Amino acid sequence: MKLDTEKVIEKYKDRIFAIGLSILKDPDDAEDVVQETFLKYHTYKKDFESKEHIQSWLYKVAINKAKDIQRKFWRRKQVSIEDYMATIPFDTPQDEELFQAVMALPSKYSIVIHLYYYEDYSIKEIAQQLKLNEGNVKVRLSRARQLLKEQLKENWNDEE
Amino acid sequence: MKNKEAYKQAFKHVHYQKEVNLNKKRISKPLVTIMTSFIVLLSTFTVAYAFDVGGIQSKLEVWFRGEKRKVQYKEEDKNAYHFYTTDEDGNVVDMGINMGFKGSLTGIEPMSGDELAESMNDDSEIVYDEKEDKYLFYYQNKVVDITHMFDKEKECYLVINNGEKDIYFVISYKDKIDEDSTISQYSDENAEVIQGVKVKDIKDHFVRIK
Repeated sequence: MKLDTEKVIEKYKDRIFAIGLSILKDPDDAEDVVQETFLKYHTYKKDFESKEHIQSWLYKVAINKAKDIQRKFWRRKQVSIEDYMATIPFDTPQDEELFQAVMALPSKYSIVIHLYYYEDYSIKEIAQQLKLNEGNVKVRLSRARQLLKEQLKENWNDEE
Repeated sequence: MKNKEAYKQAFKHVHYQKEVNLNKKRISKPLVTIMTSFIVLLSTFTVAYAFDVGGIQSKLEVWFRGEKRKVQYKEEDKNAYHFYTTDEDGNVVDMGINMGFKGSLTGIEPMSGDELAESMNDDSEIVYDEKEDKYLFYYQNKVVDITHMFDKEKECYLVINNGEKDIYFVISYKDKIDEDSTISQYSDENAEVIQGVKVKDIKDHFVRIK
């Protein structure tokens, strides 16, 4: 099966943008991730087994694209994350603080946190998506939570 | 509010605002042409001299894609080091952030940048070669085309001697090698590959790479 590209774009563009942002911390670069991911989907000739497979494939491509951009040494900040945040209509100051704290995390932690808390991925699914073993994912998740807790204090719970 | 709810609320106004252009591969950055020239120049520079990302130049060389490479690292966070090296063209490659701990007489203590660099010599990696349409497995100086080495269970078994001992690798995937593969690595023949099945029980499965 292969879903119509326009429908896939509509469903996933914001989520892939958020994934790009969580890795790259730069809205311009995250936009490139969205563009390149959907272009690859549009020109991809093979069929997918299910909607879940499409999602997993898109996220994998997006993460790889983001890593490619991250590796380019000429990459530089087009728009600062602070400038970008000024355009987001956060509902509460706590929302803004949390977003800022995630953007301040090293990428290897923020992508794990994002997949877990935003995409509701399990440890196993994150390990498969990022080609890590489950132990590594647990360590990164734990360290990321610790860093968020240090930053957000009572606004970040000690739950799992 | 639960963390998940709080997280989703913080990200709910993050939207992709532009049109997705499906007609052609765009060049989004106006500086790409200039910067590409710059890359070539810097590559030449990098080949001739040690690269510099403003970090600490490790005295150690680390296996990267089949070759020993010089690495540099910067301490990004307490005990977390960001590693860089160069590819075959001299371009700087981000190797990611690494942190680790070691046991000592006084308990557990964080590993230094050089210790982490040394430990990275035991890392393995799968890279998809788009030009050749094949999957390459890298471990130290070994490069193995594993594209057609998977069995019906979508598992590939390799054993490589690293000069000191045999290292056993079980590579598996669910749907596509480049999407969801995992590498399990064992240096002890008594290690369990799956519950109740030890490396030594299935040694014949492993293909020795010379």
